[in-house]
Amino acid sequence: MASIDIKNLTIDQIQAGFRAKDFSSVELTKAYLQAIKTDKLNAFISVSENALIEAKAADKLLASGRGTVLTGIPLAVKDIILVKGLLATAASKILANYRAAYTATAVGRLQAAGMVVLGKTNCDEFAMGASNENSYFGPVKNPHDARRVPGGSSGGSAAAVAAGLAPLALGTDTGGSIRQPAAFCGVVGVKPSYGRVSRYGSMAMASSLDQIGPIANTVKDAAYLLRTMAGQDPLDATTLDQVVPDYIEALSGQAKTLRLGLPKEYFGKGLSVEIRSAINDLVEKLRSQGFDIKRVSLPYSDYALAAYYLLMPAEVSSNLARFDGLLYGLSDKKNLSLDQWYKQVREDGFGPESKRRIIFGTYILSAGYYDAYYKQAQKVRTLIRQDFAKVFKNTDVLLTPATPTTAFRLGEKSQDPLSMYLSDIYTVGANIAGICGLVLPIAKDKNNLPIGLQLLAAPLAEEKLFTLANYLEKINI
Amino acid sequence: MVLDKKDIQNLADLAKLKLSGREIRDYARQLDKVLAYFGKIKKLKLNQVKESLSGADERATVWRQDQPKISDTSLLQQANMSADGYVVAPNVFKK
Repeated sequence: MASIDIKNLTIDQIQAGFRAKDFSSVELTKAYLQAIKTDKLNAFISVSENALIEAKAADKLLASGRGTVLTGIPLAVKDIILVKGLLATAASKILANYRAAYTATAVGRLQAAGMVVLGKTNCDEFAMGASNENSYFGPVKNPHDARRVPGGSSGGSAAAVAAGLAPLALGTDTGGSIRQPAAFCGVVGVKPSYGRVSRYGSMAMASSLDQIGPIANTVKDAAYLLRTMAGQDPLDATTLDQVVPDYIEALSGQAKTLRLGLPKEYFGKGLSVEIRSAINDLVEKLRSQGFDIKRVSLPYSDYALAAYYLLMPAEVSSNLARFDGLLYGLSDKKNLSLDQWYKQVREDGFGPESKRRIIFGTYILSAGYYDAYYKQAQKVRTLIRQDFAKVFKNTDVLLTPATPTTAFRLGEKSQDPLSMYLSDIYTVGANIAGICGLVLPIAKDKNNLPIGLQLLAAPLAEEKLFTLANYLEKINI
Repeated sequence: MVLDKKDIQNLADLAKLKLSGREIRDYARQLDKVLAYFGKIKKLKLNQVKESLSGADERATVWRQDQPKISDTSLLQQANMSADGYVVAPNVFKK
């Protein structure tokens, strides 16, 4: 076997390689494991001891002709998502040695289709952060410039795909945690509609906002993954009882019949000049090709980030209450009282951002402040949903920046939580409203860093995202 | 300051967190800044608006059948202390 060029491989290319006997799944998996071993980006927290066993089984299946298009394809999984028997640390000290007792539905469906889990990727602790600097296992570096962050919280997953350490990865997105790192690393990331993909086996950060989604080199690869992962799951009561369309078929849909919109609130001050002009250039190009693109308005956008940073910590403070050092994870000295035990384990186990959000969430939910903050934020959620619903009556897909800037430097924002929170400004609306979003690279800035474009569509309208994104990718922007 | 050190200490107790003096000082300062920014939401007049619990249509949530199942014993094996099939916790009251 000649050495395999694993950089930027797509699913179709890998399957062609399998058919032509250029390489087997075992050989391909070995090549990725080798690349992970010498990785300097810190994209992975652990590799799977079962990867080669799974690859061997996949090769057998492929040889018998019973494989699917995903059989034998390696996959990286964010370390907040459970895979039975593998470490699942959530990038936290409190779970540093924890092994999952069961597998997340999304991963289980991909494994059933024959995918091979390579390992678990680095992220911000419990998915809380926009730079991947909140990991107990150290920050991840951006493959395009190692002095910069890959974005977060799914920074390891996006960096792994961009750097060729895995052809595909799973992330989770609570306020932009798939889309923002996809933009910073120049890859494709999808945040499915709330309820489209089962959250069973994804450690809950903010249960009303979290979704698992794919990160890939191409729009088609993301479609392959979502098609298999999506759909109702009896183990997650919030998954929707709706047929999953064939997203691969959607790729050849009529892009020009889609009515596009530019929400003016997403192009205000704070947006970098280079990102603004990259999107403007693209809009002009699309108009000249006959696309109907209108300016639209989402008046409550200005309140989306505020609602998000009230609702999310409230849910975080509840969800992280389960980490008590008794049922699993970090433990302490037996001679402590129960109260001392809880406090000691949680003090030792949680990093600064987790503690900050627990304190903040506890404040928001406390008597006297609940109505002023939490209830008010739930009402703003209604207004934001109504904003989007109104716009999506006459518009199919919204085009927006994914991030206010391209990848920033390591350490640049880590001492200032508010400035870090502001980097989620264009992505949180989709989580609050439960709609779907996709980010793809459209250009590079003067430092050669990727610029991402965000596409947003109504709940369960992922097909429209795939139709348009595939068109944009094809015209090679 | 909206939140002083005593408030942060009280919240930490409620959340079962032990914080250092430095953490308390830092969080008071940082949360003050964050609250000043996000507090603008308080000024909206929303008496007529209904709350939304999530982005999805809440009517779509269907509970699964409540059927008894044998517990997965592998979950119990993850407990830090156990005896006779029970999870053991430290003493609640002082001996």
